Amino acid sequence: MTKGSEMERADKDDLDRLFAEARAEGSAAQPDFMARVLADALAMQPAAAGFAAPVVARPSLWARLAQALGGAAVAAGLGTAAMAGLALGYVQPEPVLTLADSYGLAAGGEVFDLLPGYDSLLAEE
Amino acid sequence: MARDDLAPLSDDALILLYAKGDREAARLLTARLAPRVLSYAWRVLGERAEAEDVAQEAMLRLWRQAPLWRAGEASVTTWLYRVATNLATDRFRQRRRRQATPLEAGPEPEDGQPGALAVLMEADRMAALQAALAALPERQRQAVVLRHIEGLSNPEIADILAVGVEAVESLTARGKRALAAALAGRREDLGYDEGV
Repeated sequence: MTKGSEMERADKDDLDRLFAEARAEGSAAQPDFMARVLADALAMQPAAAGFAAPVVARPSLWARLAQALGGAAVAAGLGTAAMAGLALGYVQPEPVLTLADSYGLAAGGEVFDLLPGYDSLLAEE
Repeated sequence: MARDDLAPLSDDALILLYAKGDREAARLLTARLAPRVLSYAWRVLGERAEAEDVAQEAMLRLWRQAPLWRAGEASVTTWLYRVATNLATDRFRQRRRRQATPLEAGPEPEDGQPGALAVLMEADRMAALQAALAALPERQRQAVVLRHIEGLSNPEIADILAVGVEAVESLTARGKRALAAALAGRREDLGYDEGV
């Protein structure tokens, strides 16, 4: 091997050693740099699904009313009963009047017979 | 999830966990990747504060990209080196513009050969290597650092630099020859004994 090629090889070996030292040395990242990068990471990170506050829809007025009365079924029953009472009060069918008379609860004022007795319907021609 | 449970996971898997809000994944990715990208940026830019800016910005882009990350499509490190390379290239352009403006001409550029020789005289090997690297053309420097210091393969470097594998081989070979020439006959200055 000539002296020139020996020197060339030695130079390349030196360079390889320098590269190896540079690899081993790394970047020696400073703590404040690492802290800045981590702060960015945490600031940019999407929220974890488990940690996100659940979105609770506000119940509607009717739902809250039904809940206050004891549930939707109870509210429906109560509504039906109220409608029935209202109808009986307005219509005053004859059987109700007869029953009221027997208890001495007949209305003292004028009585309108909006729903006539159905005896005539049952009578045979 | 606990740090020990995450440690064996790939960068790819950690990115997905990060995107789901796992804070330990954020810490582990930072510890793994930030020093590497900083090392690369420092070797190619030659200036610490500028390298930290580039490395931090590259990592910031990774955090932004995380929710859109598709596992298995690209290597996280390759992606990160590519971003850092582009950011470093932007810095070089800014430097050239500053140097081209006479009124703003400040200190001499860091990539001057006399600087390399001066630090060689101080027998500071790493500074000598850095000065010799700085004297290389930008693409050669990036290719040499990625190949010989960061330890990436030629196909990975080709992906990062957006060139063919043959171009990478040419860049690294020319870069290494230029470095060897810059350091030639300086064994004593480098602190290497003749007999070694």
